[in-house]
This record gives sequence, C-alpha cells and structure tokens, in this order.
Amino acid sequence: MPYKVWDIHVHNWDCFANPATFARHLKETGVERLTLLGPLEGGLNPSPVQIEQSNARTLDYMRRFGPRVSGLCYVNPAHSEHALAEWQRCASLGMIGLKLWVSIFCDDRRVDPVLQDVFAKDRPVLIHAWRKRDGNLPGECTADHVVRLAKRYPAGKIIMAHMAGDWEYGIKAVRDLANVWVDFAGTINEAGAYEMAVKELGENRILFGTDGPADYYHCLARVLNASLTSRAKRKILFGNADQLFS
Amino acid sequence: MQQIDSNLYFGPCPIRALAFEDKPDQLLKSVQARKGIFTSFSALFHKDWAAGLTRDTKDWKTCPGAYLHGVTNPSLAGWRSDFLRQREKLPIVSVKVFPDLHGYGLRPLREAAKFAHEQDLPLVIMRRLVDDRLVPAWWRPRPKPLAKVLAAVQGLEAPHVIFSNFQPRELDEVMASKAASPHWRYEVGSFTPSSFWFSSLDQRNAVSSLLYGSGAPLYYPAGSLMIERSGLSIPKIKDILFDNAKLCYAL
Repeated sequence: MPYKVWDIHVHNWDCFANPATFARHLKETGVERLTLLGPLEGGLNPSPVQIEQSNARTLDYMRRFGPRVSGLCYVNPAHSEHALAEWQRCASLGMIGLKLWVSIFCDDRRVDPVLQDVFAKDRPVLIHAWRKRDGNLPGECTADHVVRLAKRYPAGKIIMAHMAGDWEYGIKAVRDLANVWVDFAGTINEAGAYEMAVKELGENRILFGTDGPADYYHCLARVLNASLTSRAKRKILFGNADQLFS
Repeated sequence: MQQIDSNLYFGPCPIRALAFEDKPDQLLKSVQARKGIFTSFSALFHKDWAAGLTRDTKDWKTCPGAYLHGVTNPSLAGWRSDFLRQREKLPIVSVKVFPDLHGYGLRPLREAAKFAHEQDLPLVIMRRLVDDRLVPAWWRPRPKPLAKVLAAVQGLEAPHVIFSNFQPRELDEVMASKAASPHWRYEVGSFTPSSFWFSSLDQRNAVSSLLYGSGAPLYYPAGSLMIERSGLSIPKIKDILFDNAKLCYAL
C-alpha cells in the first residue's frame, strides 16, 4: 500500500468489542494509526456512570494496543459538570480530543464548559452529524448545528463526522469555515463525496474514517478510487489527521 | 483478478451528475471489469421505460463486454411485448424490477418472475437505489417489508433470483430465512458491511451465492478491494468476482 492510513473514526463495539477481533483487525489491515470513539454505552442519553464505562473501555484499548491506538473522550454534555470533569480526567490519561454524539445538540449552551476546555488545550472535538430523510434522533445534530458552533468558536477545531450524511448539503454548509474538518466515515458509499469535499473545502480539511467496525477496505477503496491526486489522497488518508492531532 | 461487475449504471442520473453517463465502455475500463451489466437510469425513471432504454442505448453497439439489465415495470401495460422487442436488439441478460420505486404491489413482482422463467433469464429484484436515509424528498416509495418481498418470490421458478442493492444486514436476514432457495443469489459490493462479514458468511457456507456488483458510477467501486482482502480463499474470491455472475447471467 503506497499510503499510510490514520482511521480517525472507529468504535470498539460489535465485533470490535472483542479485543482479539480488534487485534486481528489491526494486524490484517496494517493501519498505521486508529482513533477510538468508544462503544458509546448507555444509549442516546447516557448517565455519567455509563459515560465512564464507555471511556474505560477506550482507555483499556489504548493501554492494550499502545501508541497506535488513540482515543477521544465521550461525554454527555447534558450533565455539564460531569462532562468537563470527565474530559479533564481522560485528557490527563492521554485522550486526544472529545467526542459528541446525540444526547443534546452541539451548539446547546450546556456544551460550552467542556468545549472551552477542549479548545483551550488545542484539542479537536468530533461531532456526529447527519440529516436523514425520515428525521433525525432528538439530539442529533445536522450540519447547521455544527456551523453555529464553529462560528461561536472560530479558533476551535471541529470535526463534522460523516460529512453530515447528506454530504452535498454538509460540505457546502461548512465550506467557508476553516476550523471545520470532515470525515466520510460510515456506510454511505456514494461516489463524488470526496471529490466535492476537495473542491469545496480544499484537500487539507478532509480526514479518513471508517466508522469501524464498518469494513475498512470498502472505506479505504473509496479514497483510492476517487478522482483525486496522490497528494490529496495522502493527506486525506493520513497527513491531515497527523497535522490536526499533533 | 478478472471481474464481472453486475451492477453498473449509465445514462443521466436524476440525483446528481455522474461520470461516464453516456460512456459505458469507459466506465467498464474505469472499474477494471472485463464484463459489466448495466442498468439504464432512463429505463428506471421514465414512465415509458422502453423509450428510456432506447434513448440511453443508442450507441450500444460500440460496447463489447457490456450487457444490459432488462429493467421493466410489470405494472404497466404492454410491458411483456416491450421487453421482447428490446431483447431482440440489445444484449439483455436479466429481467430487473424495482418494485419500491415504481410503487406496485407484489402480484406484478410474481408476474415478472414468471416472465423471467419463461425467458430463461434471472430475475433481479432491486431493493433501493440509494441509502434510505438519503432518499430525495420527492421519492415517495419506501422499501417494502422484507418478509413480503420474500413471500412474493418464494417457490418461483426463475432460473435465479438475484437480490440487488440489499443492505448486508438484509442479506443476512434473507439468507437465514426459511424461504431462502438455492437458486437465490446475492449481489454484494455497493453497500458497506461490517468487518469480517465475508468470514462469517464463509463459516455458514453462504459465499457461493454471492456475486459482485459495484454500483458505479453512483457508488465508489469499493467492493472489489473489500472482497479481495476479505480473507476468503482465492477460488472463492474468483467465484464472487467473476464465475458466479458468468454462470448466473450466462455470459
């Protein structure tokens, strides 16, 4: 493989909840770096205990698999004080950023305390975002929520996951926001997404993610088969994440 | 490794501009497939599907290695004779139906299956064109419950029934169903499964009924790398990528 790969969007759930299977994945793919977003225990609105359980599993994998595997701290900002404390704890244990899912919208003011600390440490936050035909989950962000947050914190580093699903909308929504990166992690395989992202955002704001355990090679092949330069592919697959997280 | 890509598209796509829309030969080269089976977007979306297919295939004689899915709408008048007329002049290798887009019930689906059997062609059932979460607002029909689709094709005598554009989890459900027949085939490649999915299918001896279809150019042709790196044996990979489609579609 001519490219190094950093998969910034992997969950240790389903088959990856088994450390042996996860180890097999690391070995067979040879992925250079991988960032875990945790098993997101506790459903859509997890309690502080469930959040800590989720992060404990991420920390466990970080310990088991060494510097190749990094982790983002998952929080539920509906519990604002706990979110801040949990982030500070996990950051001291080596986690490299924050993960937000669907408990509340990312631009809800309750998220501010933890985000301010994340950004003060110059760490990024990865935000799940989607826009679904049949309607989103109650606290599930769209690109519009990410845009509002990015404007509130222009110096903060924000990763909008999945290109917000409806990628033609998501990409254009964040086009002019230099502090927003995107990943195309997940099972949407529509051709044109990476090409449009490079055209609209430039080649420096796109990260590679799989939403593992979604098939790694299927996701990788999207980039390899995209109509992009080798330089753009190298940046997407590794260089941009290396720059963002270092 | 040689490939037959059994799920390619050509013609003008109603959702977005795609590469190669009027150049099926270049698309074949781009996806590195020796042979490919194409679905015409105009045949899918035009009410007069036969005229849509005619329009999209006007330069078809220049495409060796390229075959056509015989997209039809069995709820419209004259569909049988239209199909036969198209088959006389074009390299049609299947009867392909999209019941959820065309909005018909399951009786026309059974009629299409009977017709496919009479014509000694496989019946391809298309479940969706795009991910359900991204279906355009103007596109009303939604996939029918899987159990009803299976009930409609259970016991039918088409040479093969091929499930196209089904999500991997749906294929798991179909394969595990009591209704599943040894004549059924499952197209894989356009949608992303979970890691080690092929290993789990192999353990259930289900790999022999798979055939490869990328969904290009609507989808990235990502499936062949996935299959090649699946950990399956070389003969099984070859079957999925080439031999099963060759047999099924009599190419």
